[in-house]
Amino acid sequence: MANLKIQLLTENTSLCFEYSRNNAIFNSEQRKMWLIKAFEQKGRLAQLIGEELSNESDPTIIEANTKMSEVNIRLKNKQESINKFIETIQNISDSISILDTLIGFIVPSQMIET
Amino acid sequence: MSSNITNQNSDDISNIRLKSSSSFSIKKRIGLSLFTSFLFLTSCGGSRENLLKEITEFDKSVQVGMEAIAVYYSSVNEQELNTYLLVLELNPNCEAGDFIDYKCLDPKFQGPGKVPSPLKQPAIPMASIQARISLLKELSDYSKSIATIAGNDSPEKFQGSVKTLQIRLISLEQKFQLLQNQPGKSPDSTISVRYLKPITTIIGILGKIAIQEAKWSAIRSSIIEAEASVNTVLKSVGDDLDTYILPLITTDADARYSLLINYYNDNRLRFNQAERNRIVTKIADYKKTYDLATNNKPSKIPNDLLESHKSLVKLAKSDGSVKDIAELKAWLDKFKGDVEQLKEAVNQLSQIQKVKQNGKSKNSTSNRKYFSMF
Repeated sequence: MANLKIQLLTENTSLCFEYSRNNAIFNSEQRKMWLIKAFEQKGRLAQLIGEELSNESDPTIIEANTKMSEVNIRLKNKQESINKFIETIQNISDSISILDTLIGFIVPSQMIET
Repeated sequence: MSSNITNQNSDDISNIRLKSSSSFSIKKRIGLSLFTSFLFLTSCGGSRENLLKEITEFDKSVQVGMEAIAVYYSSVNEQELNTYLLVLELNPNCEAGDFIDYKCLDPKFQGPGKVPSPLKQPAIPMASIQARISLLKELSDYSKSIATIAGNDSPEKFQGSVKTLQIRLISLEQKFQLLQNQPGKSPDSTISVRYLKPITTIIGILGKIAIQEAKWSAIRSSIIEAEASVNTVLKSVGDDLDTYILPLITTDADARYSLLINYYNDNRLRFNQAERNRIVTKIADYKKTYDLATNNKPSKIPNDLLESHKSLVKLAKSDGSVKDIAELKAWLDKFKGDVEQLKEAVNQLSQIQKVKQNGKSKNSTSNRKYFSMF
């Protein structure tokens, strides 16, 4: 209902502005009156939109914001889970590399003693 | 979901290691594993690759689209204020204040009482604008995260990592053989060395598949889980733009255009040619702004995105058939086209605004005050 009121008021405001530009039909005084009428309607439109937006749309937007935020947190956890798996494999590889280096030091000395 | 797959993958790796101690039919196992892997990759790889590519494209368009919509939200109050200031500038009888009295435009005007001016309170409260900007950012982060997982090169990195592991294991095995000092036996002829290479190759292939599956599963489950929330967000943003933001922006553009035309018509006889040219040029600018505002509905972006998202969800729920991918691609192409159009409109509006602001500073000392506004 409120949306319909905004729509009708918007259309009417636009129509009044259009009339105010219509030189072929109106004289200067008439154009001026239509322009003032359009501005007066525009003022009411801004007021109505401000009120309806706070009452109707804001709660939906805020709720959607919370939901999207939760979705993004879950998504981040999934990313971290994959990264953790890769990291585990990398750690195994690194550990073997350290062992490899250590043995590289030990082997020649053992062989000399033999 | 991904952690299950991760655990499953670890189990697979352990099993393969245990089985490696036995040389029984190991060649057959290697052959079978490679063949299965080949079949798996060739059957799923192509369509998945396409989806991953489309997700990257989807993200690029989302980023540009959300940025363009954010401009609409952030500029709506400024447009209201500019219109009000133009009224004040062109009508010396009107005073700046907390309320607008339309009788200042003509004492004969018989209309309802005063309404609050944008100086007293913006049409859209700042907290409401912030909530919307924040919502667009959440949506943009969602798209970015999906694209990051899709673009993750970890399967390739993993395979490289396992290859290094293979080289190190073989080197280690050879050193142990040297320590045992077995004469006449080449280090690379030992059983463990002969099997290390194929086994680690299998680990590499299976590991890559496991990570690819984890990646794919993360994308699919995220898209499916987020379906309802993303749909709500897109629908809310679309409705919000159409119902509240667009009427303010279009009537503002209309107001400034009409105001300047009337001003010119009523006063043109007292202007010299240069002044007329200047105002006419500004009328043309306002006409362009009016056309851009009325011809470009920003709600097209969330509405197109909603359709693209539906296709994406459909694809995530299916096995990614060529038909599903084609449908998604078609929506994305439309979405990209609309995003580009809106981006261009926003750029043009910014350009006009920039010219006006430059004109404002250059003419701020002018006696003819109204020129400074245009």
